[in-house]
Amino acid sequence: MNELDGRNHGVRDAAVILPFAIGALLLPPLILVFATPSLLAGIPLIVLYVYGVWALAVISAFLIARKLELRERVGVAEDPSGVG
Amino acid sequence: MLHADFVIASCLIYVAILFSVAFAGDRKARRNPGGWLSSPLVYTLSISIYCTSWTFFGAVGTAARDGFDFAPIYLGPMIVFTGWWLFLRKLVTVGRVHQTTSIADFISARFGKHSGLGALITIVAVIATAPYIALQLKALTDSYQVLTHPAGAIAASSTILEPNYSVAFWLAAGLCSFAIIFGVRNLNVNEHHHGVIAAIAVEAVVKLVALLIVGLWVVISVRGIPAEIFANAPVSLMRPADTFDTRWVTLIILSGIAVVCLPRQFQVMVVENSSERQIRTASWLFPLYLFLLCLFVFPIAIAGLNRLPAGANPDLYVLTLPLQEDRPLLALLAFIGGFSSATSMVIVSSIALSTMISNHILVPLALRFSIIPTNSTQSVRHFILNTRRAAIIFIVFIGFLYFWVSGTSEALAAIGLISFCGVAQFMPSLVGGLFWRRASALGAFAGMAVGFLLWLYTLFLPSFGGSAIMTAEVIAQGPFGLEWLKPHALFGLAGFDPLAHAVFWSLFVNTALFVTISLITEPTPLLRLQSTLFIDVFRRQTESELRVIRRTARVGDLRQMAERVIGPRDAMELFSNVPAGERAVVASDELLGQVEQRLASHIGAASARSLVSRVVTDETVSVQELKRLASEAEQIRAYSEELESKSRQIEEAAAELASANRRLREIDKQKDEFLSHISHEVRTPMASIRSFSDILLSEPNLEEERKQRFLAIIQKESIRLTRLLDSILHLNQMEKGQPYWEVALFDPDRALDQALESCEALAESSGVKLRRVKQGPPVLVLGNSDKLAQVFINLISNAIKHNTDAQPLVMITSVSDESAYEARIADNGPGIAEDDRERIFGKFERGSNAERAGAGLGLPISRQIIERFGGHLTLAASRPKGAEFTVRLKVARAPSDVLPLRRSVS
Repeated sequence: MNELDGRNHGVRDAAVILPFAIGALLLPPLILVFATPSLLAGIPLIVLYVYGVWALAVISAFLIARKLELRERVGVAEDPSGVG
Repeated sequence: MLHADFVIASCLIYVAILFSVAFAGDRKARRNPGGWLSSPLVYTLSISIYCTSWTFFGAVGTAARDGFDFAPIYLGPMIVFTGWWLFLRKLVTVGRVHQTTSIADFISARFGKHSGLGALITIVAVIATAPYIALQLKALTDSYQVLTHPAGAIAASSTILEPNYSVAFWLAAGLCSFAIIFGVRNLNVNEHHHGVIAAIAVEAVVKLVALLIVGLWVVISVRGIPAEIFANAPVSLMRPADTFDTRWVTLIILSGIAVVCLPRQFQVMVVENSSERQIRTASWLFPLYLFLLCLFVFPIAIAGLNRLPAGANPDLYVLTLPLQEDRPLLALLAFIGGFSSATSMVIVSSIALSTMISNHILVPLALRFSIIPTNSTQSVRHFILNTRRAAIIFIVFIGFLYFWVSGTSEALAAIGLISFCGVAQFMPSLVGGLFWRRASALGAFAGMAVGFLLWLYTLFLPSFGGSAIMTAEVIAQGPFGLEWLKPHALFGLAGFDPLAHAVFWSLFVNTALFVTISLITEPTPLLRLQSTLFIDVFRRQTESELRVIRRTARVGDLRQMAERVIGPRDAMELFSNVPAGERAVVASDELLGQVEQRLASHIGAASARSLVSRVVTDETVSVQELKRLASEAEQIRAYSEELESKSRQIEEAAAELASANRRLREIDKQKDEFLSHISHEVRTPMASIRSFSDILLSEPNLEEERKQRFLAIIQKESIRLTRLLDSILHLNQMEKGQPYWEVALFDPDRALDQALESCEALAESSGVKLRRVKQGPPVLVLGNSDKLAQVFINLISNAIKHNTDAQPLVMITSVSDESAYEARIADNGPGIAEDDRERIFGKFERGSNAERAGAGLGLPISRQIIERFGGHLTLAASRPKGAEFTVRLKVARAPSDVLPLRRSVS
């Protein structure tokens, strides 16, 4: 039970951190690192980067949503304080 | 070119399909509300009305002109959805629990059911959305005209066409009828529109599939080689560094806000939501939808730039590319995709806005001026439904009018972002309302009103590019030539993108006013209650305001009013628990709360409250109860903290008790041992005293010589007994820390020499040789000279007595320096076994190989004495032969000036 609780807190932390991480990746100054006129396999680097981050966000959000759903199915009581 | 009749027929067939889907959806929802219509997939697809025709056609156009500038509109919402756990989850839960009908209802309910706030939000929303609807009409008309233009689509898209207003008009009329038929069918609980949502979901799939097919066709047509897809890409894409400036950041933030605050988004996301499962799935599925929608934006844009003539309108590439390559069916599909995105936006926007107009402007006005017809039970209901129908027609008509007036002007192109900035003014109140207890209605109202005016002034009015309201001269030079009032450089803040400039000023002033005024105003009881209900939504879902607000109303009046709004059937259900024949009885607080909540789910919290207030004769707010409600959370927190610290204290106390218990047991054991030793020690002399005195008493004729001997033994044993008892007393006093000797400075060597003298007789009789060695300067120590001598006598006599060597020798060495004095008494006897090294310092203990010669109290007493002097008595480390005891004392000071003469004994 304790182990499960620990993992749940991990998922919740990840759910909170995810939007900030994605935001940081897509805003200057970090995005400027990839805003170069170079090509990778014929595709501009920046195109690969932005769509890559986008895909990463979708996959992370999917994994987090699935974990949170599993937790609900297992029937772990909702923390009454929640987040926010 | 496609024939107009063919296009119109296709559209009509498509619309017929939408009608039947909506119809089937409504029917299915009535039979089984929890079916696939409530599935997370349908929910996510309905959220995709975020992507309007502005996305469908405009994204490619923007990509062709400015490269990555199109992306932030989708990246902002993507970030907001992936972060659903932080914000959307709470927003959606509050909306669901409180059966919110619109964003205006949500914010006004949060701020004490403030009706002015609801009206302001409605006005802002209508002003910001009407041009947006006009943009959709323009996109529909443009795409239709280009598709059916007799001169060919390419030529048509290269020239500025005079809009065909009759097409626009019939489109607007069709959209109105769809929205009225399926959006205002009746007053639904919670304003759920299952039919509309089902149709919207179908449209979402159609627009995605259309764009994906066009994209795939473009990619396949260049054999899918990336280098060819991105050949001749626009300069802005190949040198992208300039894209990621203030505008990029502004657009990401603004679109993230808009995806929550746009009335249509709030409608599908919060109002139509029925479970947390939906938003959880949307958190990744909606970003995925956006990703797929944007996947082929660059290939289509670059193909358009490469293959179409230079003058062709990039906003219509999706349509003109297939026509250029002679693929009319593909073009028709693209047209239907654009048609889907535009129509779904207009339908949901008009429904959402009509609810807001009816609930927050028309019904409150009608209530104030008592123009609601009250002659029949159905009249209020019909009145509300009619106001909504009228509102839908009004909104779409305003949109059409706007399109007609602006005509071919470019003003419409940028209206999407201008609209975003307008509705973004709701955000500070929305976030503050969900997370900040002090947020007040006045703060929200003032912030939003001023933010709205700033938006009008810095962005909306200038977007007309010079008109009667704001001339080009004012835009360029400021009103009355006042430089600091220039709309695009307010207060001298020049050099920014106009959008970033307007977003900054409006949201900054909005937030600043909201926070400041909230801090200085005192919230009303109702506002405080609502803020607790909203902010603590995860903590207290069942807590109602019943216990806080006490009202008095007659059941009959309440029922009559409820029947007029929600209809007789629903009212009967609501009042089913009230026994018949009790019409005049006073309604319970619980019933009043239920009725108000039910009304609020139709006409909004503010209107429902004022409606219920009309039949309420007496209302009091229990401040006590309110305080309890508000402080309960804090109390629980404080209580749990207190519990934690108490349990910590108890743990510490328990540990202390355990160790004290251990110590007590040890002491008890020591006491038992001590007593048994004493009895043993006392018993031996007592036994001999008793037996000799027995002999003396029983044999009076004993020889004098023997009598004398026996009496001498009795005396000797008595002395031994007294000495033993003295020693015990002495030890006991020292252990208690009661020194009974005088303390003075003295020369320790003198005490040592004194002890040596006393032992000389014993040494001589035992044949032990004593050797004395002295090193170092004379010193003084603090203590008692006689006691120290007693210690030395004890140590030396032990060394003499226990020495069994053939040539017994005792070495007495004293060493001193400025800080310490050390005396060592060493013998060449059998030594002390390793196991006995500490034991011999215990009471009544003797070395295991020593003969019984004393009570075993000498060493413990000696050690106590030395320790009282602040020194140490130790047994030196094991030696091959004999034992060595060391007495180490701290030097008080050198005695040279005190005792110039030193007695030397050797």
